[in-house]
Amino acid sequence: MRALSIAATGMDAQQTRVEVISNNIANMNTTAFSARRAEFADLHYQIVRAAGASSASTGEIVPEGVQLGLGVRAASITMDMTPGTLRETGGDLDVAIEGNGFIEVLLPSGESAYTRDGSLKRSAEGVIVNSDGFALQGNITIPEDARSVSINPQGEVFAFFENEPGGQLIGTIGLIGFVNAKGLEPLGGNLYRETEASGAPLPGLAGQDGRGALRQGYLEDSNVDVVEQIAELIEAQRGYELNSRVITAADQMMAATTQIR
Amino acid sequence: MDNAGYIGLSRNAGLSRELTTIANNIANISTNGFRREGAVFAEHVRALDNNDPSLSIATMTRRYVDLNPGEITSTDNPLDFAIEGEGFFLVETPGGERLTRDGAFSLNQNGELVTSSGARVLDDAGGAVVIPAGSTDINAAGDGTIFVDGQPIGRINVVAADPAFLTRDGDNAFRAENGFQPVENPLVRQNALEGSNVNPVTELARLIEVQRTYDSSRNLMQQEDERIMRTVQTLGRT
Repeated sequence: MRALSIAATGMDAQQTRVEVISNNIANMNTTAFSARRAEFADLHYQIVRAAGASSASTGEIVPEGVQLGLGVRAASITMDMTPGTLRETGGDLDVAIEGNGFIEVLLPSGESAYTRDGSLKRSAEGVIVNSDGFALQGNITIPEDARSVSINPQGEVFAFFENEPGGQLIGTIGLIGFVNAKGLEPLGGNLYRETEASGAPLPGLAGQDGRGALRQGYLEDSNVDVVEQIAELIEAQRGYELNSRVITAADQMMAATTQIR
Repeated sequence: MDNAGYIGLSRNAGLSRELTTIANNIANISTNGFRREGAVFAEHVRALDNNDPSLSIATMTRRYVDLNPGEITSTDNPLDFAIEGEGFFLVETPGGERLTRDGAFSLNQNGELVTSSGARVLDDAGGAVVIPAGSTDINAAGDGTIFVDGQPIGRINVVAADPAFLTRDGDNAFRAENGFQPVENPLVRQNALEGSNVNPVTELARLIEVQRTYDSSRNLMQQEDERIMRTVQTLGRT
């Protein structure tokens, strides 16, 4: 009775969906979070009677055979890369990316990681770091006596000093593009790592070659649409129930089989 | 010869296969572009000797692919496509060209449009659809032509095949045993996905039907068993 294991793959798939949805809802207020979506694909088919074979009784060619499907599996969990809405914060080190692109940070291991979370901070040494304290690529240091910092849409960081009218360029926040940004591997902490699927990082300047411009004083909200997620949650729950109904039916049929005399 | 018993058994074997089909349909209720599967039973007639009435046994002879469209839902993803009406997307897998209705595409590391299982989506010239890196403005016309920054870069091929020769291949794909031909006026919708065409109400109704038929055919076998037992007892007394 394969129906039992097939329905189990169905329940498993719906459970994966609920897990993805719950992660999305849990991150509805995470800066620059990309909602995920689970995609499913049918499993292999068992050929009971092949199409095109000749039928034993009459010798005619069987036009359509009998193929029994063996269930479902999660094919991929894709990221929805549409940018979230921008929220004004007024923070001088808060930057939002208006469009495509990632900010590169250096992990303690020396590896690069990429993020769209632009809530930057200043370390004790004056270096611009992300919320977890990882320095941005280029090690931009804000001088101690700087009065204020300004970041222009091209990513150039200027420091302003007392009694000096013009700002001083102290570094540039570059943006990294990816051919397939959905192929990045999430590391947690709003960070991503390049993979073979994402392609090599393509460094460039903000506002150029399809990369978004930077906007100081804003942060990107999560792009999770809660109403959509709840609707999906209801669908997933009902799908789960339907599959469990199949298990009950298969169980009862098996019970009936054991009573045959 | 215990013919009634054999007929009951063949019925139950068929029903348990039909249950497998229903279970597979329900398991794929949220699979994009999934096509429902139905089972067809035919009677296998066998002539008996001595002018007795012939004996017919139910066998599952074929399945059919239900090509009714599934629900189309809109998404925010410019790489999600759905075909309205007839046709399939043509994709290239390691095993050859396959047909699919699942339009949840993404890009691979070379910028080629691929399905969720990594198969390349083919254009009407038979090549991959390559989206230049960093493109943000991706639009599709109704006939499947993709425009990047206003420039056409290729047309997604939409093909049709005889449903009788579609073999399921897993990963939401079909193999067209008898070839396929392009659809004349395809209608491709961007930012939309087609769900599964499995209707939970119909499947549940069939599920209950299968279960009850299974029970009744088991009852038949049981009654037949009792009948033979009574016959033996009655004849044994004389």
